[in-house]
Amino acid sequence: MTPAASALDIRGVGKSLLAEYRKAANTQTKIVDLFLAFIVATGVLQFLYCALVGTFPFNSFLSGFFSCVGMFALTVSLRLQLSSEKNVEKAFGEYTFCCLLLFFVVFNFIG
Amino acid sequence: MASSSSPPVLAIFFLVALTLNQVTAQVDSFFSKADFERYHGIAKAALESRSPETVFFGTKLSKALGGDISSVCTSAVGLISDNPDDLETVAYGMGALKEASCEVSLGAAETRAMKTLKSGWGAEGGSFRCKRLTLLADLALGGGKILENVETAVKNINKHRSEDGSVLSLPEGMSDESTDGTFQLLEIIAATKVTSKGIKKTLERAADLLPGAEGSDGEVDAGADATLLSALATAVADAGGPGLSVTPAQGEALARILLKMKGTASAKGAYKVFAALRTLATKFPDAAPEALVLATPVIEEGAVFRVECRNILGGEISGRSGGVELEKVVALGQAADSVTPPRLEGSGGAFEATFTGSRVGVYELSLKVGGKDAVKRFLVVQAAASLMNIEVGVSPSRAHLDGKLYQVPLRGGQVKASALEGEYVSVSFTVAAAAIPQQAFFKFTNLATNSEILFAAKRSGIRSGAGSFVAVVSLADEVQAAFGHRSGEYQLSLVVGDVGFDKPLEQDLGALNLTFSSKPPVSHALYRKPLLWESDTALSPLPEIHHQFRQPERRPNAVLPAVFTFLVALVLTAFFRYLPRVGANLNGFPSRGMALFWNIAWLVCLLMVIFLFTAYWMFLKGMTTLKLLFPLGVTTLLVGHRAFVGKVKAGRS
Repeated sequence: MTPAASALDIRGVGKSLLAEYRKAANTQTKIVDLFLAFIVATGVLQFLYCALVGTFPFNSFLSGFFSCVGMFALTVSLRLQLSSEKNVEKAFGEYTFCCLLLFFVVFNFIG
Repeated sequence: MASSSSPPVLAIFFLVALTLNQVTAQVDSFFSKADFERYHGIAKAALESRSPETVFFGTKLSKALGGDISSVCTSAVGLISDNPDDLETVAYGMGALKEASCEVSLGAAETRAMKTLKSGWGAEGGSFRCKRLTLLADLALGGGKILENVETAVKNINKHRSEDGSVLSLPEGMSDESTDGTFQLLEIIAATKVTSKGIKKTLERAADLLPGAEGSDGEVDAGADATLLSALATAVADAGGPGLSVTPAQGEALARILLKMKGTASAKGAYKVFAALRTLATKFPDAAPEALVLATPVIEEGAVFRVECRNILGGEISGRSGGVELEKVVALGQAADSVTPPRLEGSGGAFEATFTGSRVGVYELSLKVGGKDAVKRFLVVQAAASLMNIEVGVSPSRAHLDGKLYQVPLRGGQVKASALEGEYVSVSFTVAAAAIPQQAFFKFTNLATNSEILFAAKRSGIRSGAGSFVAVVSLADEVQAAFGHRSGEYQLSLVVGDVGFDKPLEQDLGALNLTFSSKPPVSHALYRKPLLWESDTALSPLPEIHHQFRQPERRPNAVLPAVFTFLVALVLTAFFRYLPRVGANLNGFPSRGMALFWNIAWLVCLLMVIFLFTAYWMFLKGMTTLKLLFPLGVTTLLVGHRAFVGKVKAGRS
């Protein structure tokens, strides 16, 4: 298999996967996934800043980065609950409470 | 160079000499006015005491001193009435009433008090102390009121003596080695005034305790009890006679010991000492030490000096038959040390003589009273003195006249000059006095530090006259030891004194500006090996410690954070941009009714929580934040609950 053919196959798999996702996933799941993508992008940018520019102020970097990690974990947890079709409002309420708690810790540590 | 090697020592000699006239004034005065006042104070305090023994002896002391004892009757009756069953209280209380000649009634307490006294004598083998108290109380009451037969009681005491009167055995509980037994017996003997031939040996035994007795080392009673000594003195006085082998020298030795003990603060000790001294002074005048007091220890030239002969209590001895003889006069520190003694004229206790033909100075007088050994007293003859012809010089050589001389008038003008380290500062002066002064000093006083440096002046041949002095100070030699390299203005003065001067002479000479080289650094080490610090051996300052501050963190170019901020904002924009594409909308948000209210309220609460967190980050304290967060969190919880409940209900419908 030539490299060009391999690339085409991968692209085809991606398109197929994306089409299947759009078809199967509901709106709530899509919104959560978009938010997850935003969180990941923000975390990557912070890590790049730390690697390329410097860690000062280090505690602020840690706060920001772990805020992204914490939010990602909480959001993934929310997504799982949404997928299981349980009580959505209850899950969102818990998610909100946990996020506020995480923010309090982050603000406390941000310096 | 003047003899300036030890200025402080010379200064001390100088001060000692100046105060000699005060020292010689402190002659013997055995029982001074201050002593009488102190004893009056002791008696007064004792009369206010709650101790019956203290009140008793305070009464006796106050009575002996001629003080007021009017309060004794009330206080003694009060003491006995308060405690009529205590033998000591009753006995001493009765004694105090007797001493104060009180005719008072004890009332209901009298019966119990008498019973207490009778029981104090007790049966055979009773306490010797109780017997003594009872006997003394009975004697105080006139005898026979407690004890039916005083003579029997005395015999009971006398059973401790052999037939010839010597001590046969001591009362029960007393050690033969202790003087306490003898003291108790002596006190009873003194109180009962028993006259018998046998008392002689007892008193002789007591007399053995006296210093100066045969076989005694003379130090027996240096720390003896005042009561014992008083009992001895009283016994010696009461029983004194040709049969008693107590010599006048022993009596005098006893009196001297009593005088050493007169500083006691107790009423009992004070009374005993005073009574014993008075007894010795009145009944044994020959045995009592006489004090020859030089009433005029310091006199002017040719003045009259006075010698007083006083008794042991400090009073004049009246009616003495013999006079006081001035046997020898020695001039101290003078070439012709022997002076013809003048004849003392007078009678009784006061004698005078004129000290003519002698120069100023200190004289040792050998005085004889009667046939006794001569005693020595010191007489100081003084005269006025003054300073003349004072010149201060600053010269490049040691010779006083080589340099620049500054005249110093005796009154008025002052020297103002300067000198360098290599120069010499000198002063010459003449003392106009009848005697050559023993101390003459050239004093430098640093005006900045007030430290004084003294240099001794010595006799000079520069000027005629025996009283010429000169002092030359080599600034180079004294810069380290005396001046300590302290440059600046120094006040010059002369200090001249002698025991023959009526007052010390001090002449201000003016100010002199001295310039010295700087102090060389000390290079020698204190120790060969460092004890703790390196400076122990180096004696140099340790290297200065430069504090290392934390280096500031490297800051990136301001553009880079801005770029990353922009990138994050771009991602956020993309997030919001793609939200509608994935189907996000606000269609589910209630548009009216209470559901709208609760949803908006919930969002407001969330925003307020976020705002509170931001405020905490910016300026709020943790505890303040928690206090605000608690009600806000509860509100958010409740509001959110209502909003979600409404949402669920709307979904079901």
